[in-house]
Amino acid sequence: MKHMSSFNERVSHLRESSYLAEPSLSIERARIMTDFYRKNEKKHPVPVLRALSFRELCEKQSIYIGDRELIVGERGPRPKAVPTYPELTCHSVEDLHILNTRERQRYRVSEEDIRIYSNEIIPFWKGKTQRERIFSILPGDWKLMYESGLFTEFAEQRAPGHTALDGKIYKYGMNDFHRRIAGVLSGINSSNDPDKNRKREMLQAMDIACEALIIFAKRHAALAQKMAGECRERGDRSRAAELESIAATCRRVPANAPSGYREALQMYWFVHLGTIMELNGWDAMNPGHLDQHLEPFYRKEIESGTLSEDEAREWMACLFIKVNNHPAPPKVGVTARESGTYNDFTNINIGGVRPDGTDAVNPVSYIMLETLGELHLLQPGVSAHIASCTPDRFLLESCRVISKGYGYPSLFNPDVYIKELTRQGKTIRDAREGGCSGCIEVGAFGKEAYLLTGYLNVAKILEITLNNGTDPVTGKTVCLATGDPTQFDSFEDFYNAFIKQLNYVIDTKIRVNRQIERLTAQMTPAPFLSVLIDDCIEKGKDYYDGGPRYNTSYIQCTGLGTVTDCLSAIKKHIYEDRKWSMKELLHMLSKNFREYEPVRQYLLNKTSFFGNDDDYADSLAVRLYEDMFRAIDGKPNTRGGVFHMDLLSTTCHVYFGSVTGALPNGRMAGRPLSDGTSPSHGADRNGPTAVIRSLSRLDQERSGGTLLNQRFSPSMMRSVRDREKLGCLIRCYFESGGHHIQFNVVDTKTLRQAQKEPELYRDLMVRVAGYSDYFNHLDPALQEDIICRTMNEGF
Amino acid sequence: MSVQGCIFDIKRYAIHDGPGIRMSLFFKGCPLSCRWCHNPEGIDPRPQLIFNKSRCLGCNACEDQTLADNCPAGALEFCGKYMEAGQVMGIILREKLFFDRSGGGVTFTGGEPLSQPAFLLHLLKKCKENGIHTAVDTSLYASRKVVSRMIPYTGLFLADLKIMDPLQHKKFTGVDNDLIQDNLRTIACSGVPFFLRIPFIHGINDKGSCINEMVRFILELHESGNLSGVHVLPYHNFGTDKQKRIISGKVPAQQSFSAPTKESINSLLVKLQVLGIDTVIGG
Repeated sequence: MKHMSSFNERVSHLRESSYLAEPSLSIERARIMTDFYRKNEKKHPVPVLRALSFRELCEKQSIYIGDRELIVGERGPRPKAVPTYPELTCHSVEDLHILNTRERQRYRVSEEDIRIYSNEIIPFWKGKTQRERIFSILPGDWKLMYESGLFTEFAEQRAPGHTALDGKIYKYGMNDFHRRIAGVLSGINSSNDPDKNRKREMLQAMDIACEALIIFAKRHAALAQKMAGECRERGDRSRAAELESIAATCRRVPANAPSGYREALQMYWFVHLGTIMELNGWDAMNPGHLDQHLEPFYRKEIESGTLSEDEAREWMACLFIKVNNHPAPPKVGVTARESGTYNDFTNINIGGVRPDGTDAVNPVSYIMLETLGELHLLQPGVSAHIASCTPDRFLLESCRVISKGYGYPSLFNPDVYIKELTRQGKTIRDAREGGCSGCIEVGAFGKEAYLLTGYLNVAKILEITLNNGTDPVTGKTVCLATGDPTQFDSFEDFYNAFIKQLNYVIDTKIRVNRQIERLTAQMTPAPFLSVLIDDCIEKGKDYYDGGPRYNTSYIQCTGLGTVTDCLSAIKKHIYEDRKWSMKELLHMLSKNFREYEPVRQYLLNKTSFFGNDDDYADSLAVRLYEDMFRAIDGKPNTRGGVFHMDLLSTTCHVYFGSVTGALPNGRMAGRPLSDGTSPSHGADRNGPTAVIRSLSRLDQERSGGTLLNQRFSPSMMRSVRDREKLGCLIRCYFESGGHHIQFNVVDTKTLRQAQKEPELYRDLMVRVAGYSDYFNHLDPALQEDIICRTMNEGF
Repeated sequence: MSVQGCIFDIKRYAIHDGPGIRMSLFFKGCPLSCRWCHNPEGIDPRPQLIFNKSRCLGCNACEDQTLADNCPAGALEFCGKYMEAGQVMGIILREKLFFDRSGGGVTFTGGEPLSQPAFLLHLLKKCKENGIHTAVDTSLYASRKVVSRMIPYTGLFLADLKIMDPLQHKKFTGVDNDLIQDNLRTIACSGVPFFLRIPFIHGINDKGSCINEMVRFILELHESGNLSGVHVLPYHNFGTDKQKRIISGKVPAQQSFSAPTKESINSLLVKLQVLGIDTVIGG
């Protein structure tokens, strides 16, 4: 196989099986959970019930050990068989049919399974799912806004997640956590804590969860031992030895801390599986700074001769393939549109800094980069972290992988995100142990619940302000009447109305989010995840209930580029030059510029747009950024933390665009909004240095992450010298305060050809938002969106 | 005293026109009119109207007024704009961060930057004052005095080498090549590093005898010790399309050529490399 030059036959085989496996739905988890809930629902407090149901899964679920695997364990009965989580969202028969037949992000599900779902699963969960509970408390004003596409809600189909781990699971096993829990429990029992009972329940639940994962591993050990015996009988001694070694590993971890490199990888993998079996949290699970966690094991074993570099590479490839075996749990409706991909966003951080602030790049970092470039799989996402102390060699090696054109690694700037984290109140050490998970959001790994609450359609808020509180697409009044814009005397009047509306929408979202947060904490606690995140055990509190050391809620603002360009057009053409009146503008927008193409072209060509190092537009972007920040930052959530602003859009800018009418920047109705903090499509005409200068104007240290997409033609990074210059460009952005940048390296001709002949371009991968995806898995609107991103050509 | 010049394009993140990340400033006006010119809109020294038909909406906004500013789609545009040196320096300084980090700077190109000597000299001096590396991309068809005045302020020359035969040179570029060769020798002895750039065109300079003559001359220049390398630029025909869009001022005569064969490119490459001259295809 062409991508696998440096890997051995085992890895080629595993990679190929993973690549070719078709995503399907498994109803096994749903059946086990349904049976369990039927018998036990009212018998236990909720946290204990959740832990017992998790143990039931660990005891009963099918165990899979694949041919030639070294790292074992699947969330479902086989690779890419994705379970459902009916206690959160119970898919309807119609949902299942859609999932089985839709053209993109299809999940195979048999008629027989649909029948069982219809007869056993759906009737039991009717009225009991988290989704139904949430919808029952949603007030009318919120619903109107949601239906207009002003925002999305993350807790609606999946549990909040975005979690990443610190290094604790490489130092402590489940038995150690059990002892720690027992210690806290005995302290509580002898105290006068008024919250004693609740804490005791929670800690009992955590204890059951630790035990459950050990059971899960031991079942793998038993199966491996049995398979080893069968191999011996067949005379396959080498596989028998491998299986025996797997069995021995599964008996040691996760019960105990790992003792070597291989055990460390298997340890992580069991923990990863535990969290994604317990709940379907967004962004699966994330090992965080895996290169740092593995480094001591690697060095020790290389020195003692028990591990070779090739073996280290092989095992790393096995882990990556395991992550690739796990597509995202299927979403439906709006939620499928805000994040329409199989990718489940495990974003492994490599490079960056150590907790003491020094350079963290080590041999394992390079092994991971190489594995990423050679495997060429959809998952996991890997991000390279480039601090000022990061060596050029690591940056150049990252640029070399980027130039292959798979869209990864994405690049992050620890110097800035550490400041983001400390500004939010983390200690410097916790901040340095933190990083980016999911797309681009920052958090203190292993110590924080930083929950994304949904995307905010800022462009729609502008559109509704232009229509005095009414959504012109639906004709419904959905927001405040902030005044008839044709009566405003100045741009300031208009802008103030817009900001008033912005605050109103955000406040509504936050108000309802607090209620949803309570529901999540009460009804779907996550005892297993809580074991892994400090200080849930010490506080005797759940991950979703303020147990972690830090508790952030993020709102993801979408459309900074689009809205800036609209404000720039309104300010310049309506209020300064008075080329058209507001009334005329509104009329043309309502007609979607039909018969006004020259006006639309004028707006597109004669307006100062964000991303060109032009002070006129850039100062408006800064003003908007600051006002969004003020509207969100610091407002309390119910978990002892506060809301912060995040700027990413995943694929939501396409969905938001589809529900937003024509806009004053010349964008036609239904077209995508700008993504992340990138300039609008085609708006940046002065090349990447100008984009970087514009983006640097935003005080990114006060966000929880920004996202900058750049598209380069392959000719821009062909030679080592080109890539050195790219490295300098990245350094410059990061020195100017940039949080993140990523590159698509593919020319328009190739993308067009891939649309015409998808079969020939099955493995063409592109950068979408905080992740890469196969181009042909993307919805046509999103394909178009990527083609329309301004391409920087060679000169 | 303000110095003014005519610029027809500014490109940022130019990475193939000298060391590091560069800004390329395109000076309008060129004394040559090479038949294969890929920037034909840079030949006339004054601003010219360019009409890009594919963008035209047929809205007739241009009918009663000739101002290109009125064209909403930017189909009718002025190519070339008079700018104050101070204004140009303001734009250059915005990129300083990138220059400093990458060892880059400004590349003056065109057109022919030496055709606006006062403007160029002023900008070169200002760049030097600000610690910004400069490169001058030139045909070297200028008086020896002009070239000598630039030398102390120029960090790198990117000098064209087109045709060795004087008659052919005159025929296809409109000017003699003796002055150019003279200036090349001056540069070679000046101590300023330089690259030679050869537009390599089938039927113009890709014959064996032409190649040999060129290699001989390059070797002579190489002996100065200042030749940094040679860029062989195989012909492409972007220029002919652009020429058709020029609708005012001088429309240079253009001709379509074909790209040289791989064999002739290789032959040139090998001959230069054998002499120890760093040679690359493309810039």
